[in-house]
Formats: sequence, structure tokens, C-alpha cells
Amino acid sequence: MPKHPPDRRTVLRYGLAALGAPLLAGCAQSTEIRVAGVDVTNLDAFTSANIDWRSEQGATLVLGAEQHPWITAMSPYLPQFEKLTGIKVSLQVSGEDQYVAKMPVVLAGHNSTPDVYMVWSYGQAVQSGWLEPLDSYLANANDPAWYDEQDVFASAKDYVRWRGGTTYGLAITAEAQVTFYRDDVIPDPAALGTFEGFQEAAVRAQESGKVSAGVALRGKPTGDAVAWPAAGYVFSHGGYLIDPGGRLAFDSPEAVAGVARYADIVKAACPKGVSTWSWLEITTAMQQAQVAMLQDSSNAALDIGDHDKSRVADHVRAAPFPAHNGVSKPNLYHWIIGINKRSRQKKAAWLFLLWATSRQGCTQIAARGGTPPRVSAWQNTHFQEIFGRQPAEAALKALRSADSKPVTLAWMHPKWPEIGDAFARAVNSVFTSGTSPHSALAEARSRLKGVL
Amino acid sequence: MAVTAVKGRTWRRRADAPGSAEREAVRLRRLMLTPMTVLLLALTVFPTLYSLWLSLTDRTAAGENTGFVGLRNYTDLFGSAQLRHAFWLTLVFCVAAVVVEVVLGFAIAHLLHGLRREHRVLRALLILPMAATPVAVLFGWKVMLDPSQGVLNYLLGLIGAPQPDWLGTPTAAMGTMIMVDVWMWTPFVIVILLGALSSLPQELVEASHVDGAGWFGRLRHVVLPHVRPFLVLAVLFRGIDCLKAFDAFQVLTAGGPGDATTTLNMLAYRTGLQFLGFGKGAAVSVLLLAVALVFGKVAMRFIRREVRA
Repeated sequence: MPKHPPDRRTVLRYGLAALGAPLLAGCAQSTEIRVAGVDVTNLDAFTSANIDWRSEQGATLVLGAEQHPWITAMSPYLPQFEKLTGIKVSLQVSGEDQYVAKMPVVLAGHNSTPDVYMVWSYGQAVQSGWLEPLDSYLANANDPAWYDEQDVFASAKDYVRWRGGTTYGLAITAEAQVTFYRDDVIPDPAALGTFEGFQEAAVRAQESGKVSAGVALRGKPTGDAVAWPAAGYVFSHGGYLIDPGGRLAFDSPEAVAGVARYADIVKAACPKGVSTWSWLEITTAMQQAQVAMLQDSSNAALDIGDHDKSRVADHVRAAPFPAHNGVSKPNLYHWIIGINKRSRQKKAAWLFLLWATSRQGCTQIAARGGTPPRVSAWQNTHFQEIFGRQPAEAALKALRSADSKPVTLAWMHPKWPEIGDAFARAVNSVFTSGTSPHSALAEARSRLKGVL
Repeated sequence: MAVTAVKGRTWRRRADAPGSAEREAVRLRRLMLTPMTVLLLALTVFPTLYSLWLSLTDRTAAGENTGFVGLRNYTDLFGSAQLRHAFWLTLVFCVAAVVVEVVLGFAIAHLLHGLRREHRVLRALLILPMAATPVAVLFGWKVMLDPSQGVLNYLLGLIGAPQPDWLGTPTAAMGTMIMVDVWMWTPFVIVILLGALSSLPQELVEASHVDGAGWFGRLRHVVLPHVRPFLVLAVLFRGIDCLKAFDAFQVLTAGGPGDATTTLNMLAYRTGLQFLGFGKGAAVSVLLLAVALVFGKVAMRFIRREVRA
């Protein structure tokens, strides 16, 4: 070891390097996105409302979001919001895994930003006191006729209404479970109306040799993958994951029947390897013409109907989710946006919510491929051009008639991450290890005993 | 040494202290070490102690109605079938992966050591899996392992071999995880053992030749005793790495099928960060740390004994 102390130059060199490294690292990890260069239009549609848009001018809002089609569709209009209100918006976007892991830590740390954020687990956020109640804001809205709440899907309103009737967030997207099929492979789409007919059509398509498998379904054993599509089967068979009394209902005969049906279809007509598949894999399989059908969120229409990405875009049609004994209860989902309870810019945040979820705001977001929870947005011509007229009509029908009760009871539960994970692993084990649906679901239920 | 006695004590006289230049050097060295020490305390020691404290609480992300619960998280965990299952899976994964990596690594290192010219090129090629970004590599594996579209099954199909669903059944999934770990980390063992073999005294090898030792005799009585401390070192490093393996499981299986690849680290992640049960998640992490420490202690003792021998 050298005995000489380092000279000044060496100290300076290493000192600068030590100072520079975190700066460089900071640059590399920055998630700040600046939005610029987008034409600002349609201000009149907002200024006609009896709302004082300039009341918070000069404020800066931090908007926390994950990478999502809604953000992609909304962010080009941020300059419009900034011009309308004089409020600057700083957008912080992360990938889904990173966002879901980061936000609880940020909010549990009592941070005042982000002021507005996309809520990934509503029940957990409400229970933890991370969301500002919006009832007083809604009650004092200056121009309800302009905002037009009647235009919002009933399921979207129910979705954000917490126990006791308090609303803590507003829905920004609408998705419902539908069946997408290729009209060049499925000769009789009417048969897709029942689970039996759907399974038979999938098996026949597979045997036809035109595709390598009948249908793409999510199989990955996580709460954000297989749990969502499989829950639609449970609901349509008359079951619940959490019943109206707040009890776990995993192993009710109806839930078992729904899971058994899902597993049967996976085993009979899904591609090999589907047990690890999530959104990306199922949409890719459909885009690449490997499967005859895809059954999942209506939002898949944007991916599989895109001529640049999909080999089957011209042949994609949508059918309603199948029924069991005449009952069809497709699962649905609404992304929610809310105000951080510790935000110092709550009024500015509310103006943002008003702007983004208003009839006019939703229409323009829909025109860029967002899927807002408003009837008028789904009937918009630009939206239907992007989404596909026929899939849009099928999804709209499902969304207007959707029963949000079973999904709300489960997905809004404060312990949903644990419940969803246990349910997903149980469903996955039924088609991967041959465990019977009843024993897999009963075991999942017993594992959750201490949780609830 | 010149000393001054004051009330029965002895004091080093200032004149005998190290020279002022040397003292300056010591002071500067301490000064230079201070930022690193502070960083180490802030980023390693404090989080470890904080995790220990967290594991004794029922803290959740909401932070409401939480407090000190003593050893309840640990007693809950020890009574949980899920933890026992995760522990067993961790053990299976670690033992299988480390054994295969060390045996294979030793065999390849021994073969490479025999090569003179090609040695460097092959060594550079072999460390590629280790040098690539793990998550990127793992996504590559995910694509290759896809039973219907992956290149592995395509190649197997060409020779008429069965095309398994690599991650689709509990047994296959664990086997595949071990295979991927072996592919990624055997080069690490090779690098360690190549270094060990390079330091093997040539006289010993020549003497064994003179004594008429065959290939196996030389391996058993000359090579293995020499590389044994390095083998233990490789086992130590790989064992601890396997215990805390996470990225491969998260990317390839997410702990599935069912719970078939939910190892201790996956369980800690799910409990602590997915379900936001910080107290329980910390308890699983502390258990994992304890297992790693015990394993490390045993391995270090073995290494010391080998080195002394």
C-alpha cells in the first residue's frame, strides 16, 4: 500500500468524478417528460363552461402515471390545459411494475406529490388515506350540465363510489371482457354466445390447421394477469370472489364451475406455454395470426386492429362475452385518477380532473385512442375509426349493460393484491398441475384466512 | 523506547509519535474513507437494522394502527405452510444449481487450462452470459423457452425430440430455472477455477508424472487438493447468490406455475412489496439473511481450514 498521501490533483479528479457520477445517474433515471410542440385547439369548448379555469394560474401540478394508452392519448393535450388554466403540469411516467412498486412507498412516506395520480389499487389507496374525497368538489361543481355526468357509464360511477357513498376518484378508462375472433377462421360467430359454443369453436379452429391454437387467454399466475379474465367466468357462472357480505367466496360451487370452465378451455385450445402469458403475449399471438380468437379486455382492439402491427387486422371482429344459462357477466375495469390527500395544489388538481374527465376532454382523448368511460366518446367517429366500428359497438354494448357489483366487491377490496394473487395462483395451478378446481380454490381460501 | 511515567501510567512521548507527514497521510486517508463509511452506514448498516426493526412490527404501507409485535411475524411464518414450501424450493434450487455449476465449471476450467492458445478466446466467449445485462438476457430466455414459438423447441423438433412446455409444469419450471442459472453463472465458477489452476505449481505436476500418476490420480491427488479452497469459495459465492436469486424467477415464472417456483426471496418480495406488508416481508428477508449468514459462516470456516491445511 503506498504511504504517500494523494496529491491535490488526484483528490480533485476523484472528487469531481464522485460528484459527477450521481449527477449522471440522476440524468439516466429521470422520469420527467416535457410535453411540447402540440397544437392547442378546442379551447372554446372549455371556456364556454361556467368554470373559473384561471383561478389557480401559476400553480404547478405533478401528475404521476404509468405507461398506459390513456397517458399517450391525453398528454398531447396538456399544453391546452396549461393555456386554459395557467397551471403547469409536470408528468412523471414509469413502467407498470416500477409504478406499482414505487407509488405505495411514495404515498406512505406522506409526500405531497404527485398531486394527481393514476390509482392502481383503489381500495388500498382509500383505506390507507392516500386519496382526497371528491364529494364536496362534485357537489360544488359550477357547471354540471357542461360536465354531463349522465354521459358517464353507470359502471364507472359505481366503480369509484366507496362504501358509504363517498367518491375518491374519477374513472378515466373503460374496458370490458369481449371475444375477438377472425372471421376467416370462425365460420359461425353466433356459437360464441355460450361457453360451450366458444370452447367448441376454439377446439375446431385449432383442429382446422389454419391456426396453431384456438384461443389466446392470459395464464400468468398473478393478480394482474389470469385473475381478471378468469373472474369473468366466475361472475357469469353466478359466483363471486368476494360476496356481498364481504366474505371470500372462492370455493362456492359457482366459482368452482367458472374456474373449471376457464381451465378446460386453456387445456383444450390455448397455445402451449400460455401459463406464463400476460397481455403482451396474447395480443402478439393474435397479431401474428397464431390463434383464431382472443378473449380479454376490449382494449385489445387497438393492438390487434392496428394494420401496422397486426397481420389479421382486416379479419378481426368482436363478439359479446359468452353466457352461462343465459347469464353473461363479463369482467370490466376502469382506471381511476385521484388527488393525493397531502397535495398542496388540490384546487388545481381538481381543475385537471374536471378538464380530463369532462365530456369534451374525453372526446378529444378518445380521438387519439384513449378509451374514456363516456358513451359520447365511444360513439365518436374518430374513436370508432381507431378502435374499429364493430369492436367498439360490441364493447359499448358490454359496458352499458355491465354489472359492476362482483368486480367492485373484489377489485376494490383493500386486500385485493393478496386476494387476487391467491386466486390467480389457484386458477393457474388447475391447468398446470392437474389440481382440481375445488381443492385449488379451497387451499387459496384457507391461505387467506389470516389476511381478512 | 523513551517513556515517561505519570502516576503509574506510561505515556508515549510526542517525540516518539509517527512523523507529522505520516500522521497527515493517516488523517487524509481517514478523511477519504469518511464518505464511503457514511454511505456504507446509510445504505447498508441502517437499512439492515431498520429491516430487523420492521420485522418486529406489523407495519404496512398505510402505516395505520401498526406497532411493535415482538416475534409474532416470525411465529406466524414458522407456522405457515407457504414459508416451508418456499424454503424447500429455495433449498432445491440452490443445491441443484450450485452442484451443477461447480462440477461443470471445474470440468470446463480443467479442459481450458489444458489449452494454451485458444484459452483466452474461449474464456472471453464463456464469460459472455455473465457479462450481459441479466434482465435483458432473461427476456431473451423467455422468448427462446416459449413452447410454441421459441427456438429451443424448434431445434428439438428438427431432430424429432419431444418439445416440452419448459415453464408450464411445476417440475419442468424448477428444472428450467436451474438450467438458466447454470447457463448464466457457470462462467463465474470457470473464471475462479481457471485462476486457481493457473497457480498450480508446475513442479508438483511434473513430480506426479515422474511418479507415474495417471490422469485421474493427478486430478485426485494434485489438482483437487490445490483448488479445493477455490471450489469452496465458488460454492460460497454461488450459494449466497442462489439464495437471493430474484430476477430470473420474476421474469420467467412470476413464482408459478401456482406457487411452484416461489422461493424465499420471491415470497419476501410478494409479502413486502406487492401486498405492502412491510413487517412480514421484512421478517422473511431477515430469515433469508440468517440462512445466508449461517451458510457463509460454515463455508468460511471450511475455507480457513483448507488454507491452513
